[in-house]
Amino acid sequence: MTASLHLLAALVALTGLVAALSILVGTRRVDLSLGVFLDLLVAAGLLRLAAASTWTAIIGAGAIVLIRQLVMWAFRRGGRAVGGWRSLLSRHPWTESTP
Amino acid sequence: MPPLLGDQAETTLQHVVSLLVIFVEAAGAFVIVVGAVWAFVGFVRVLVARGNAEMFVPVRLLLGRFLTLGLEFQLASDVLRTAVSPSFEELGKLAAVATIRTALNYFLTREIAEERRQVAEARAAGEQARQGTAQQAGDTR
Repeated sequence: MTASLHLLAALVALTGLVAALSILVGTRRVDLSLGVFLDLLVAAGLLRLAAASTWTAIIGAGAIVLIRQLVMWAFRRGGRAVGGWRSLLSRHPWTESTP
Repeated sequence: MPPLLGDQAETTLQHVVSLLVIFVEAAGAFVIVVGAVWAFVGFVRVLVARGNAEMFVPVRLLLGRFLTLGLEFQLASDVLRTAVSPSFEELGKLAAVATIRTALNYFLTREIAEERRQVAEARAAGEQARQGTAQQAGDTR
Protein backbone atom coordinates (compact mmCIF):
# COMPACT_ATOMS: atom_id res chain seq x y z
CA MET A 1 0.00 0.00 0.00
CA THR A 2 2.87 2.39 0.78
CA ALA A 3 4.36 2.05 -2.72
CA SER A 4 0.91 2.53 -4.31
CA LEU A 5 0.30 5.70 -2.28
CA HIS A 6 3.72 7.09 -3.26
CA LEU A 7 2.92 6.39 -6.92
CA LEU A 8 -0.52 8.00 -6.59
CA ALA A 9 1.05 11.04 -4.90
CA ALA A 10 3.49 11.42 -7.81
CA LEU A 11 0.65 11.05 -10.34
CA VAL A 12 -1.49 13.66 -8.55
CA ALA A 13 1.45 16.09 -8.48
CA LEU A 14 2.04 15.52 -12.20
CA THR A 15 -1.69 16.00 -12.85
CA GLY A 16 -1.50 19.29 -10.98
CA LEU A 17 1.40 20.47 -13.12
CA VAL A 18 -0.37 19.53 -16.36
CA ALA A 19 -3.62 21.17 -15.23
CA ALA A 20 -1.82 24.35 -14.12
CA LEU A 21 0.11 24.70 -17.38
CA SER A 22 -3.05 24.08 -19.42
CA ILE A 23 -4.99 26.67 -17.42
CA LEU A 24 -2.13 29.17 -17.73
CA VAL A 25 -2.02 28.74 -21.52
CA GLY A 26 -5.82 28.78 -21.81
CA THR A 27 -6.66 31.69 -19.52
CA ARG A 28 -3.29 33.50 -19.03
CA ARG A 29 -4.25 33.81 -15.35
CA VAL A 30 -1.23 33.13 -13.15
CA ASP A 31 -3.25 33.27 -9.92
CA LEU A 32 -5.74 30.70 -11.17
CA SER A 33 -3.14 28.25 -12.52
CA LEU A 34 -0.93 28.60 -9.45
CA GLY A 35 -3.94 28.08 -7.16
CA VAL A 36 -4.89 24.87 -8.99
CA PHE A 37 -1.27 23.65 -8.95
CA LEU A 38 -0.93 24.25 -5.21
CA ASP A 39 -4.29 22.60 -4.44
CA LEU A 40 -3.23 19.41 -6.23
CA LEU A 41 0.25 19.58 -4.67
CA VAL A 42 -1.44 19.66 -1.26
CA ALA A 43 -3.46 16.59 -2.26
CA ALA A 44 -0.20 14.85 -3.27
CA GLY A 45 1.42 15.87 0.02
CA LEU A 46 -1.48 14.41 2.00
CA LEU A 47 -1.20 11.14 0.08
CA ARG A 48 2.54 11.00 0.78
CA LEU A 49 1.78 11.59 4.45
CA ALA A 50 -0.72 8.74 4.43
CA ALA A 51 1.92 6.48 2.85
CA ALA A 52 4.53 7.04 5.55
CA SER A 53 4.63 9.43 8.47
CA THR A 54 8.36 10.18 8.28
CA TRP A 55 9.67 13.55 9.42
CA THR A 56 10.55 14.37 5.79
CA ALA A 57 6.97 13.75 4.65
CA ILE A 58 5.59 15.73 7.61
CA ILE A 59 7.86 18.72 6.98
CA GLY A 60 7.13 18.54 3.24
CA ALA A 61 3.36 18.51 3.78
CA GLY A 62 3.60 21.36 6.30
CA ALA A 63 5.75 23.40 3.93
CA ILE A 64 3.37 22.99 0.98
CA VAL A 65 0.37 23.94 3.14
CA LEU A 66 2.21 27.03 4.40
CA ILE A 67 3.32 28.03 0.88
CA ARG A 68 -0.23 27.57 -0.42
CA GLN A 69 -1.65 29.83 2.29
CA LEU A 70 1.04 32.48 1.71
CA VAL A 71 0.45 32.48 -2.06
CA MET A 72 -3.37 32.66 -1.62
CA TRP A 73 -2.97 35.52 0.84
CA ALA A 74 -0.57 37.33 -1.54
CA PHE A 75 -3.00 36.97 -4.46
CA ARG A 76 -5.91 38.18 -2.32
CA ARG A 77 -3.92 41.30 -1.50
CA GLY A 78 -2.53 41.42 -5.03
CA GLY A 79 -5.40 43.54 -6.38
CA ARG A 80 -4.28 46.43 -4.17
CA ALA A 81 -0.55 45.71 -4.43
CA VAL A 82 -0.39 45.36 -8.23
CA GLY A 83 -2.20 48.67 -8.70
CA GLY A 84 0.29 50.27 -6.28
CA TRP A 85 3.33 48.76 -8.01
CA ARG A 86 2.09 49.72 -11.47
CA SER A 87 1.48 53.31 -10.40
CA LEU A 88 4.92 53.38 -8.78
CA LEU A 89 6.56 52.04 -11.93
CA SER A 90 4.76 54.53 -14.13
CA ARG A 91 6.22 57.37 -12.07
CA HIS A 92 9.77 55.92 -12.06
CA PRO A 93 12.24 57.94 -14.25
CA TRP A 94 13.48 54.74 -15.95
CA THR A 95 10.00 53.79 -17.12
CA GLU A 96 8.65 57.20 -18.01
CA SER A 97 8.63 57.68 -21.76
CA THR A 98 10.82 60.43 -23.08
CA PRO A 99 9.02 63.20 -25.02
CA MET B 1 -2.39 -2.05 40.31
CA PRO B 2 -3.11 -5.04 38.03
CA PRO B 3 -3.47 -4.34 34.30
CA LEU B 4 -7.02 -3.91 32.99
CA LEU B 5 -6.42 -6.28 30.10
CA GLY B 6 -4.22 -9.33 29.81
CA ASP B 7 -1.22 -9.26 27.45
CA GLN B 8 -3.02 -11.32 24.81
CA ALA B 9 -6.10 -9.11 24.89
CA GLU B 10 -3.94 -5.98 24.61
CA THR B 11 -2.07 -7.44 21.62
CA THR B 12 -5.36 -8.35 19.94
CA LEU B 13 -6.69 -4.85 20.57
CA GLN B 14 -3.53 -3.35 19.07
CA HIS B 15 -3.92 -5.53 15.96
CA VAL B 16 -7.59 -4.55 15.59
CA VAL B 17 -6.78 -0.85 15.98
CA SER B 18 -3.89 -1.15 13.50
CA LEU B 19 -6.26 -2.71 10.94
CA LEU B 20 -8.80 0.05 11.56
CA VAL B 21 -6.06 2.67 11.09
CA ILE B 22 -5.11 1.13 7.73
CA PHE B 23 -8.74 0.99 6.63
CA VAL B 24 -9.53 4.58 7.64
CA GLU B 25 -6.26 5.92 6.17
CA ALA B 26 -7.00 4.09 2.89
CA ALA B 27 -10.51 5.58 2.84
CA GLY B 28 -9.03 9.07 3.26
CA ALA B 29 -6.48 8.47 0.50
CA PHE B 30 -9.23 7.10 -1.79
CA VAL B 31 -11.36 10.22 -1.28
CA ILE B 32 -8.38 12.50 -2.02
CA VAL B 33 -7.48 10.60 -5.21
CA VAL B 34 -11.10 10.63 -6.42
CA GLY B 35 -11.27 14.38 -5.73
CA ALA B 36 -8.03 15.04 -7.65
CA VAL B 37 -9.20 13.01 -10.66
CA TRP B 38 -12.68 14.58 -10.64
CA ALA B 39 -11.16 18.08 -10.39
CA PHE B 40 -8.73 17.38 -13.26
CA VAL B 41 -11.60 16.20 -15.48
CA GLY B 42 -13.57 19.31 -14.48
CA PHE B 43 -10.64 21.63 -15.34
CA VAL B 44 -10.20 19.96 -18.73
CA ARG B 45 -13.93 20.31 -19.49
CA VAL B 46 -13.89 24.02 -18.65
CA LEU B 47 -10.74 24.52 -20.76
CA VAL B 48 -12.19 22.64 -23.73
CA ALA B 49 -15.42 24.66 -23.45
CA ARG B 50 -13.19 27.82 -23.40
CA GLY B 51 -14.89 28.92 -20.20
CA ASN B 52 -13.91 32.07 -18.35
CA ALA B 53 -11.94 32.15 -15.09
CA GLU B 54 -15.11 32.16 -12.97
CA MET B 55 -16.08 28.73 -14.32
CA PHE B 56 -13.04 27.22 -12.61
CA VAL B 57 -14.32 28.29 -9.18
CA PRO B 58 -16.95 25.52 -8.75
CA VAL B 59 -14.33 22.92 -9.75
CA ARG B 60 -11.86 24.25 -7.17
CA LEU B 61 -14.65 24.31 -4.57
CA LEU B 62 -15.36 20.66 -5.36
CA LEU B 63 -11.68 19.74 -4.97
CA GLY B 64 -11.61 21.63 -1.67
CA ARG B 65 -14.63 19.65 -0.41
CA PHE B 66 -13.01 16.34 -1.39
CA LEU B 67 -9.76 17.34 0.38
CA THR B 68 -11.74 18.35 3.48
CA LEU B 69 -13.55 15.00 3.53
CA GLY B 70 -10.29 13.08 3.00
CA LEU B 71 -8.74 15.07 5.83
CA GLU B 72 -11.58 14.09 8.18
CA PHE B 73 -10.75 10.40 7.55
CA GLN B 74 -7.04 11.01 8.02
CA LEU B 75 -7.63 12.91 11.27
CA ALA B 76 -9.72 9.98 12.49
CA SER B 77 -6.82 7.62 11.70
CA ASP B 78 -4.47 9.95 13.61
CA VAL B 79 -6.74 9.74 16.66
CA LEU B 80 -6.87 5.93 16.38
CA ARG B 81 -3.07 5.77 16.10
CA THR B 82 -2.69 7.46 19.49
CA ALA B 83 -4.19 4.30 20.96
CA VAL B 84 -1.26 2.19 19.71
CA SER B 85 1.64 4.65 19.66
CA PRO B 86 4.33 3.27 21.95
CA SER B 87 7.02 5.99 21.88
CA PHE B 88 7.28 9.75 22.36
CA GLU B 89 8.69 10.11 18.83
CA GLU B 90 5.58 8.44 17.40
CA LEU B 91 3.38 10.69 19.51
CA GLY B 92 5.37 13.73 18.37
CA LYS B 93 4.89 12.73 14.71
CA LEU B 94 1.18 12.21 15.28
CA ALA B 95 0.87 15.63 16.93
CA ALA B 96 2.66 17.30 14.00
CA VAL B 97 0.54 15.47 11.40
CA ALA B 98 -2.71 16.19 13.26
CA THR B 99 -1.74 19.90 13.52
CA ILE B 100 -1.05 20.15 9.77
CA ARG B 101 -4.25 18.36 8.87
CA THR B 102 -6.38 20.40 11.29
CA ALA B 103 -4.90 23.69 10.05
CA LEU B 104 -5.48 22.71 6.41
CA ASN B 105 -9.03 21.63 7.21
CA TYR B 106 -9.67 25.02 8.85
CA PHE B 107 -8.26 26.98 5.88
CA LEU B 108 -10.13 24.90 3.28
CA THR B 109 -13.44 25.20 5.16
CA ARG B 110 -13.00 28.95 5.41
CA GLU B 111 -12.16 29.26 1.69
CA ILE B 112 -15.13 27.12 0.67
CA ALA B 113 -17.48 29.24 2.82
CA GLU B 114 -16.01 32.46 1.38
CA GLU B 115 -16.33 31.23 -2.24
CA ARG B 116 -19.93 30.10 -1.60
CA ARG B 117 -20.76 33.52 -0.14
CA GLN B 118 -19.25 35.27 -3.18
CA VAL B 119 -21.07 32.97 -5.62
CA ALA B 120 -24.38 33.58 -3.77
CA GLU B 121 -23.79 37.36 -3.80
CA ALA B 122 -22.98 37.32 -7.52
CA ARG B 123 -26.09 35.26 -8.22
CA ALA B 124 -28.26 37.63 -6.14
CA ALA B 125 -26.78 40.66 -7.92
CA GLY B 126 -27.45 39.01 -11.30
CA GLU B 127 -31.06 38.27 -10.30
CA GLN B 128 -31.58 41.86 -9.16
CA ALA B 129 -30.12 43.20 -12.41
CA ARG B 130 -32.41 40.90 -14.44
CA GLN B 131 -35.46 41.96 -12.42
CA GLY B 132 -34.52 45.62 -12.81
CA THR B 133 -34.18 45.21 -16.58
CA ALA B 134 -37.53 43.40 -16.82
CA GLN B 135 -39.21 46.11 -14.74
CA GLN B 136 -37.76 48.86 -16.93
CA ALA B 137 -38.94 47.06 -20.06
CA GLY B 138 -42.43 46.79 -18.53
CA ASP B 139 -42.47 50.49 -17.57
CA THR B 140 -41.51 51.72 -21.04
CA ARG B 141 -44.38 49.83 -22.76
